[in-house]
Amino acid sequence: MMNKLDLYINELLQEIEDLPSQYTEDALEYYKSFILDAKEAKTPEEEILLQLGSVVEVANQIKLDYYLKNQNSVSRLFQKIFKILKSSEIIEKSASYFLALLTFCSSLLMYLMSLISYISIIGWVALLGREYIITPSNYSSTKLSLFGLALLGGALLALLGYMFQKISKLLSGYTIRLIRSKLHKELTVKEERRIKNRFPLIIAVYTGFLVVGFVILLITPMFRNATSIWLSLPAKSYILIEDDFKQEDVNRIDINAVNVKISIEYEDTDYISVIYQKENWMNYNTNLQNNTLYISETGNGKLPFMNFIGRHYSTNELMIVLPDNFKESININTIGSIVETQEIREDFHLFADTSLVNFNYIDTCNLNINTVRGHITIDNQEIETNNYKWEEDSNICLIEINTVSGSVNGVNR
Amino acid sequence: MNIQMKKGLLDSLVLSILNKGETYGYQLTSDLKRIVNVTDTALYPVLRRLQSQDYVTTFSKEYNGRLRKYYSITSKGIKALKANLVELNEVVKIIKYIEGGINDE
Repeated sequence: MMNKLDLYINELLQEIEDLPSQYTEDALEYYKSFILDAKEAKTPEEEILLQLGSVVEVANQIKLDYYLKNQNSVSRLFQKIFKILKSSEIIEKSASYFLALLTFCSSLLMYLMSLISYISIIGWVALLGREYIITPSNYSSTKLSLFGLALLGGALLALLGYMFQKISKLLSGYTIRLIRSKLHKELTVKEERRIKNRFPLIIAVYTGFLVVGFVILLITPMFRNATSIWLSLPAKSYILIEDDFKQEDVNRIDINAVNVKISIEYEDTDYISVIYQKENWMNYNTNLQNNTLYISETGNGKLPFMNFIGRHYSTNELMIVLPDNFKESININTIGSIVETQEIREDFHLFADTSLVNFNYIDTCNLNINTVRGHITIDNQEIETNNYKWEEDSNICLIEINTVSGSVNGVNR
Repeated sequence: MNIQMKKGLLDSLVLSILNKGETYGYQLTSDLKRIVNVTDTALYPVLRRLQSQDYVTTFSKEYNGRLRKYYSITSKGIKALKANLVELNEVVKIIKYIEGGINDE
């Protein structure tokens, strides 16, 4: 039969049997030796048991000793995490870092948006400038509208980015205040400065861009190619303005124009037809005063900044059909237009500034052309001479052409 | 008594006993018993802890036909004991101050 000391050892063994043998053996060796030594010193059994302490307590001490030494890296990590979570300062720090990151990201977004807007603005200015310098005749209000759009869009983007930054800043300020109040701590000077809302200059600049962009979009229709056409035509001529384009007569002059002024100065012809073709959504006012017909653009019934959507093109066509017996001169003043003739049998005077002029069929007539930086072709053939004088030869009329830095193209008939 | 304080004191006590000479488990307990009540404190974990800190080393010697484990202090253990003593002196100062406060009343 086991005595109490053997029982003690057995119980201890049961308690710590889950530990590695190294631990259990060492512990058993110690306690067995202890009991033997105690017995040899004639210590009573009860006294020995008292000295040994309770089995559970000893086992727990041994287990604790083991776990403290052998905790793995994962449990150590968890311990660290618990330590961190316990420390409010670390929470505060990490929260402020996170918010700082958020503010930084939103600022970055804002600056990116601003950058995009600047690039688009600069790009459009460059494009517009290049276009205007190299090919002034190609200048169009569409590009100006697009520039306005770029300015507007860029400023909008920048403002959006700014708003985003502001919101994140407000949020971070709120959170920092919350954390600080939880910790019963005052805000630091740095934090105060970070939270403080100030009206920055940049927002004024963006708003300026926004306004300028909007104004440009608003006024671009006014910058459309302005053309005036002055026709010396019979005073008693019958003028017909139609909405639909009808190509019935070959005796005509086709002029691409937007703002058109037609004056009629002839007395002896019975029929002239002016057909103004509407190719887009624009509306026109026609007004006949002192033998002068004015055609002007009034708008399109849409919001001005909608003009950029590719529908603004100045290809409105004015077709003038001349009567068969029309033998007088025609004067056309045009700026920035494409002038195309089908057939001219009488004197034709043209002042064309930055225009492309095509004469397709010329019979016996005088052509008087003044053009600045214009391109003139006759029957689509080129003549590279400036101030070209076309001498009359058989049935071909005299042409006087004055041009500045342009090419004049003529034809041998 | 505070567990941490007790632990530190017990460690120092065991080291100071071992500093007087090597000894074995039961003898150590008997020596301690004369100074503190060791029944509520298991000595074995203390010895293991001191061993793991390299303050104490063990060796086995034959005794009565069996091997008996002996414990002896290391140089590191002596250093630790001296350091502990300095700290304990601080505590003694505090205790004396407290005593003085009580006696003045």
